Amino acid sequence: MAGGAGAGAFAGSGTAGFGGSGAGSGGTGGGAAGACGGGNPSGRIMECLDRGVVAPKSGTGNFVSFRLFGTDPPDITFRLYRQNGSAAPVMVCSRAANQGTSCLDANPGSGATYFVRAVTGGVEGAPSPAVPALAQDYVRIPLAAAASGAYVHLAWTGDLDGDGSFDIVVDRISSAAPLVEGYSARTGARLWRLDTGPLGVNQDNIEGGAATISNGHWDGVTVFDFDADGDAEVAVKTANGFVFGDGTTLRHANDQDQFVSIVNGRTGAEITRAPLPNDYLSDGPLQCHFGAGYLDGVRPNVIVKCKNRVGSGAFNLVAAAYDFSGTALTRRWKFTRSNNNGGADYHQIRILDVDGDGKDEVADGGYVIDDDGTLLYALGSGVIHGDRFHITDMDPARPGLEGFGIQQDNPNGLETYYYDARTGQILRSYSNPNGAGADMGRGTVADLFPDQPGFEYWSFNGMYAAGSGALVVAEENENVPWPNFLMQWDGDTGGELLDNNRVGDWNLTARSRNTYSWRRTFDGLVQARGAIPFYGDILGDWREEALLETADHAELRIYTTTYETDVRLYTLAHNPAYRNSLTVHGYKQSHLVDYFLGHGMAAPPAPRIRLAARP
Amino acid sequence: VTRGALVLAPALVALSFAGPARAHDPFEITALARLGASELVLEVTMARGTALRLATGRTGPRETFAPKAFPEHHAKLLALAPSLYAITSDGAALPLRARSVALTEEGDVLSVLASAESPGERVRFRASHLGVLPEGYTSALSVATSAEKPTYYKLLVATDPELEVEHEGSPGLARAARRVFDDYAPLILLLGALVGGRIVERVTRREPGATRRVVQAGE
Repeated sequence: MAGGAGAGAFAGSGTAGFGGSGAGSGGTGGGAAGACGGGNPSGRIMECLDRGVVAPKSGTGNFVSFRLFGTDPPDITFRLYRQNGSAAPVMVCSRAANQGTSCLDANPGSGATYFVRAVTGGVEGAPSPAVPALAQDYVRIPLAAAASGAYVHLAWTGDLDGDGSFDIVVDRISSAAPLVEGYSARTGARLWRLDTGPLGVNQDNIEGGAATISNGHWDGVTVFDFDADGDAEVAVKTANGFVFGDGTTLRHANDQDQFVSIVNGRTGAEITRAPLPNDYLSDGPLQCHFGAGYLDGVRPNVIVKCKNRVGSGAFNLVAAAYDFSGTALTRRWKFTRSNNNGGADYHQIRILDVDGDGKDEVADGGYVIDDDGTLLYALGSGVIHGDRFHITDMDPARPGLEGFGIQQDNPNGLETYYYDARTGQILRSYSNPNGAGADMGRGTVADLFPDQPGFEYWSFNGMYAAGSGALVVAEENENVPWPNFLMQWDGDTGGELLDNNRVGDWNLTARSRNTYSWRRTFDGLVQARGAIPFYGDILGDWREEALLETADHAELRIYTTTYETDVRLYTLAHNPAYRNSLTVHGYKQSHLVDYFLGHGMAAPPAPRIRLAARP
Repeated sequence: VTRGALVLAPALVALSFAGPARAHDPFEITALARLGASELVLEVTMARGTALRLATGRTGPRETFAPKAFPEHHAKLLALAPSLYAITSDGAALPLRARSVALTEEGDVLSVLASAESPGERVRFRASHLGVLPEGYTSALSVATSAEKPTYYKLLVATDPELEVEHEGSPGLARAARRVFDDYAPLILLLGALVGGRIVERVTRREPGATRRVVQAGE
């Protein structure tokens, strides 16, 4: 029997944020099975999200989608309700254990709000927060005024205010010092603004300022619930002159010193800070990738990988991990690439458990740092620097995870390679038979072909099946699809391709580069390398949302799918590898889970997680 | 080349708002335009393979050249440079001439172009090279219209290859007059109405008197 859920905070569906109220106050709502504090008692602690109900307009109806938790029991079912004004709620649909977590409400009437109740053991749980239907297929978040021409390069997500929904953090890039702003996705309100200050002005893509963020392929910012209390914090690179959300300015006598500051996600105030490693201080400020991972398998850590340059020549590289207690930030370990300790670095890091011990490693393209800060392995076979690499379960018939990487001007001819992510053993390599390898620049992985085993991986030297090694599409006349991003949008378990502001399926029959069935073209600005500021599963079921800034810099739009599906998967954000991936953004690459997500997949194993308890 | 040197020499990628990136991936071009009172200067930077592709039509990632082979390609790249961007100034074509083409410290191709004429009030940039390259290439354009630092930025792609900017430094009198009018239109109209009204009032009041005076003077 459904009781009335709270009214949406924004009854007008075209207004900012996705609205909603805390009907399931203090918890996740939508069922006790996923309640805060639930899950594997020894698992990694993750933010306690609500059901993430979202109701984009679809034709004359509303497509309503909601989140399955990684902690939900396999037999959980759901009932979705609609409430029109003060009328009694009516059930729109029920979803059995073998059905997806979405349905189309063909006749929503006016002023519809939606909430969901989980059913376990025949008992209906508490309602989720109720959210109003959207007037379109995206959530709108107005941007505060910033410097003329300021644009959003990168965005991050985390539950800043502890209300169970993912909020949004963005940078604002202009010729002035970059800004960082937090926004409530539920209300659309700006929560705070950080100003990187005078040492953030130099945005050189190689040798930027001490407090510079989002320059080149660097980020220097990440968002996560680092103390596992249910509220997300912001970790940001800071230096003298950095201004926090409460107006406090960081004062430090030496402009060269850099810090990792932990910022309160609700207020923007600095909680604490710790120094970035200063091993290479004489070579100038470090530029960094920031991210989150679970080095002990239970509590999250701040991870940084930073570089600077010796004159105009070689690069120094240092990585570090930090523990945040809620009040103090302590460095756990430091890793420097010197004395052949390490391998080639790429333009991004991935933080995931490659060796299956339950603890995360920090993977760079040519080497992996173990959870304890020591080198786990460096790739052999002459692998040098490349731009991109990917790690996921590409071959379900093979134990563990596999990796795929590309090369840049390898003098030995190597152009791409496929490897065992546990050991670094090269399983297959692909070289230019006629000389030095090319600067491949782009390469990706996805399961496009249902009749090929596992994923396909490709760059501009052909597409191959991970399971068999077979050549699937020869690269003739530039006919492989543009290898940018894998995205889940249309509801089948095969991969869609995201490039610039479009997502769609590549035409498997035509096998020509620009033959796609585009599923959605998003309205908004595209950033470097054909990337949008953010994409990932942050609303509704397991499909991924796309966040773009409008061309007039006036608002953010979070697009969400309206494709119906009966595929049921727990939210990708509860997958450990995927959730970590959402924290790393500088040189954006596909977000990948740690199980096989593709055609003919088996049900993924339950993630070893527990949801943060709330006070 | 030793392996140690190889792993320590990755080319960095990306763009900076403040100007062209110092190293490029093969699919990203950056450009910085400076609009002065007497000329427009445009710097376009791209990977060697991208430049060679534009100059020769050779396709495929393996089609590039070593930095030491740059002199062999210099003439082709110099000829290519003026066609990289199509620029209009107040609706009329603003031709660019190549000043130089050289390799940067990072081994990318830097083309510097300049206009022979002053840029006008509205300057439109079209990344014409994106129409030649296959989809997937992007061109990050920053434009500085008055100060040293860019005030406009847009990532241009094949499906959206243009950016129009307002040239604050344009010396045109018409522009200045229009700006004054745009900024003070209500006040000007109000003053105009008041002054016009007073003139009409005075003229209509004086007409009889003036006539009388003339008549009187004639008398």
